[in-house]
Amino acid sequence: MAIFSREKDKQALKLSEDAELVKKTINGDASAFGGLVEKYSSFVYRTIFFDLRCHEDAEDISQEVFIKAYKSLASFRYDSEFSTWLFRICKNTVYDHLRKQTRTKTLSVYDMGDGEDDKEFEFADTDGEYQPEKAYISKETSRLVNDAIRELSEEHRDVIILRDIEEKSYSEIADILSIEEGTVKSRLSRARASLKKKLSAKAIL
Amino acid sequence: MGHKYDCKKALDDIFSDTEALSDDLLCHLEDCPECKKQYEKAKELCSLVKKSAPDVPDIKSSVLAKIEKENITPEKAKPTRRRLPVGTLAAAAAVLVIYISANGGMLPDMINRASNEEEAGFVTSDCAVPETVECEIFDSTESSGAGGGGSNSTKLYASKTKTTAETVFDYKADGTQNAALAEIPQTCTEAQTKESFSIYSLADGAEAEDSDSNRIITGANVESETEAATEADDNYGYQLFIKLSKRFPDRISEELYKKTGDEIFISFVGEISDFETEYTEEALIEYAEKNAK
Repeated sequence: MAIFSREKDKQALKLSEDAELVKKTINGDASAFGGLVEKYSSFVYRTIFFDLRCHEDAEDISQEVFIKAYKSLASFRYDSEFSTWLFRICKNTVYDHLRKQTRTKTLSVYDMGDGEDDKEFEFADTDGEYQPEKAYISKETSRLVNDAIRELSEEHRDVIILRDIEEKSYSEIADILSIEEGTVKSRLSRARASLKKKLSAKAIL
Repeated sequence: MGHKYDCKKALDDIFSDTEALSDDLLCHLEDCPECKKQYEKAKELCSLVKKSAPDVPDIKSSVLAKIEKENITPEKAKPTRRRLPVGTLAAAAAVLVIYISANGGMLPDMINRASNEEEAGFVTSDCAVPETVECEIFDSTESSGAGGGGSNSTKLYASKTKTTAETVFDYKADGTQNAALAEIPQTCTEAQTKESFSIYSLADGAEAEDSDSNRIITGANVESETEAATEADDNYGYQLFIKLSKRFPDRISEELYKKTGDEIFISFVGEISDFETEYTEEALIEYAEKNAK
């Protein structure tokens, strides 16, 4: 069966840089895990931020994701990419968080006010001089762009984050999302077209 | 013009890759002002998205500090690990409580999927059991992510070594309620209307890997629904709880699972996978009518 052939392939694969860090971490080198956190914190945080729409929650959940990953490193299978594994932990932690939020009927994630976005942006021009009007327009544009990204379906949102924000290659995205590279391209095309439509409707594009 | 590109294909390619344009596409852009304009917009879009991305806090320091402060260490791997296909689970399926209620048949496609069970190496029971048992989920599914919870129409088909469930959700792909199937109003932004999935008998601590997504599923002995929930919450992903009644006491080998009074609880913990199949409203209504008879 196909699922067993991968087991054989695994032995022939040279361990990736991530896999080496995983091994070192398991062997007691916590700083090696720091390398993994550093490499993936941006991708994890932004994925969560666009799912949850809240900086504080995104920071807490990001930390939770990495702690979960750290605890579960022994269950990481070296025949898949670390980023793929981490992405699933990330998504599942978000789902759990949303489920708990729904259960306790706390503030809806869709009701987050503009204040949540306040710390997203720096308001200085290229000379470092503060320009209130420019800063307001920039902030407002960014807010609308981020709102539009959040309005996308999850699969479109993920591919936009990975490609246009995190600048991952198509091959990396394919690994992370466990889909074919061709699917990444077609999904990205639809996602961008959809985002463009939303931004045009908001008179941004 | 003799170029390979028409405008539709050009737009598809422009939006899928704004950086590496083929020579043919570049030729098309030179000759087509509208596509050229769209290309500029696509580049502007990517730039705007990048510029608008939120800043990332220093997560590394806080994670490492927490690991050190709480003396957290990587947990040891579970002793048993098996690899087997589990099939696709809907993102909505977070918590299911399943109750075996009646005998019945197995769907043809599910019979096919039940092949190679022994080869896959998952746990089997030696006791005499019905070939298939039709079961019914009597509790509701609690969705996670987009959409809310609600009662769904689910049937469970159990064979000696595998249980296959089919759920028809009570909302349509467009997020509106499917009146033919449900009484509870729903909102759902995802295209989730129907799922079928398989459940394998796993011993406590045994792990199985889904061949589609590489997700790991862990079997756990639990003695109550609450304990099953706790077990699942300690992990991540969907939680699928099966409550087996004493009507089928030999369904699962006593050696593999604890029996508590009249019921056996089994918790499977794994990850939520993407849901890919969409069903038409007509198909759902047909399904509902067929099952109502």
